[in-house]
Amino acid sequence: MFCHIGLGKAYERSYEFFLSSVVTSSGAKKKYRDIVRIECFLGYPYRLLIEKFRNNIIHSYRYSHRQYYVFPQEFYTLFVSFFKLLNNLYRLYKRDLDRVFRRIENIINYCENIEKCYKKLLDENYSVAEEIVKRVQKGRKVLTTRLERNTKRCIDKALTYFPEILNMYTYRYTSPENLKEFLLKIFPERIARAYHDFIIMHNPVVVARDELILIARDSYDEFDGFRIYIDDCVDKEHYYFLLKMVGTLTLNGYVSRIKWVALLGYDKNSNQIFLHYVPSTMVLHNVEKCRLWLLGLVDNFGREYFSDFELIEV
Amino acid sequence: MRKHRIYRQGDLILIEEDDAHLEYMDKESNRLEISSENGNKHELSCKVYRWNNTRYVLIDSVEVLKHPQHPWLAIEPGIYRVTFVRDYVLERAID
Repeated sequence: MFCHIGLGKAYERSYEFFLSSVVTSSGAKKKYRDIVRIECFLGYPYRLLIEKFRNNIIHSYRYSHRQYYVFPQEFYTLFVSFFKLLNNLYRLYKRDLDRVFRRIENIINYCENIEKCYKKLLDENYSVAEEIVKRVQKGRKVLTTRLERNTKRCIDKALTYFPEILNMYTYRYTSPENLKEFLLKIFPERIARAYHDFIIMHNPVVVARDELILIARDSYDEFDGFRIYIDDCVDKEHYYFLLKMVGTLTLNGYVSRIKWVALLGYDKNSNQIFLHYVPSTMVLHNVEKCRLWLLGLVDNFGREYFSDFELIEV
Repeated sequence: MRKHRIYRQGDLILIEEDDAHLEYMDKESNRLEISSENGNKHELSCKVYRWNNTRYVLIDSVEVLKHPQHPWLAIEPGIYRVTFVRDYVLERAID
């Protein structure tokens, strides 16, 4: 077996490497297997790596706007490790390519031979993964603290408008058909259909009719670390009370995943409760921004569609 | 630059538009009537136009948007796009 690597052009052609039983360009055309593709903007360090191992090149050819180099089979594992490291660094440095390339250039300097290089890549990969885990853990801790603090701040107010919020009626469904039947009893068909798919995907989910109902799968044992927080609230006198609910999954006591974000409100004019879901990305914004999303005035990331507007509402 | 006026009464939203070409749209009626889920209606005297699935209203002089469950709202003259409060779940379902 041989390892072929094809170098593309920045922002034009991706990079790729694969195993092939032949050294010729037939490898790239049809006799390839275990192919790995790298986005072109992230592929540049492969050029440096190949430069380092120029003496090991068996053959080279051009095909489909890529320059291919053929290496012995053991280079395939090296390239895979390098690919993993690249992706981890890209994640660690939050897509800052300059920092990724600078660090990777330092690593490549240690590549005297394939064994040493492979070992160095493994070590680096391990330490980068550790750095990412630490950062994720820190983020989870901060988010959990924020959500717990905000829940404490808003819970009294929330209880005055929604006394059942801490002890919602829970409906457990046994099958999707069973769920559909239940939803059709409380919602018009279009809304029931939309909620049905959403609940199947994100269960447990809260819905509001005359009161709040938590809908969960029957097999969802003790909600498997599921927790609802109140992230923000606002009370407009004579107008509305609004709170931002966040459905989360917790792991080791910290929030590990945001399942959904919703705005629960009480309209003081019509004495009605309402509940609208917003995109999970809105977890980063306050209740007012989420409300603007409902009005269609900001996008999923909280950026305003209009540079200047005057909102008049009742 | 002039501020865009946006009116909201319950679930109904009117967004002021600068570049809506009413001459290319179909005129629907002389009154905007939108029924809520509970049977009540949002009502506004204005010229209603339609472009695909979007409704636009033309208001020549100050008009009042009425609904039995909400305070009335005075709408300034202008061209407005009619939209509604959106929901992530319902929007995804329509997609």
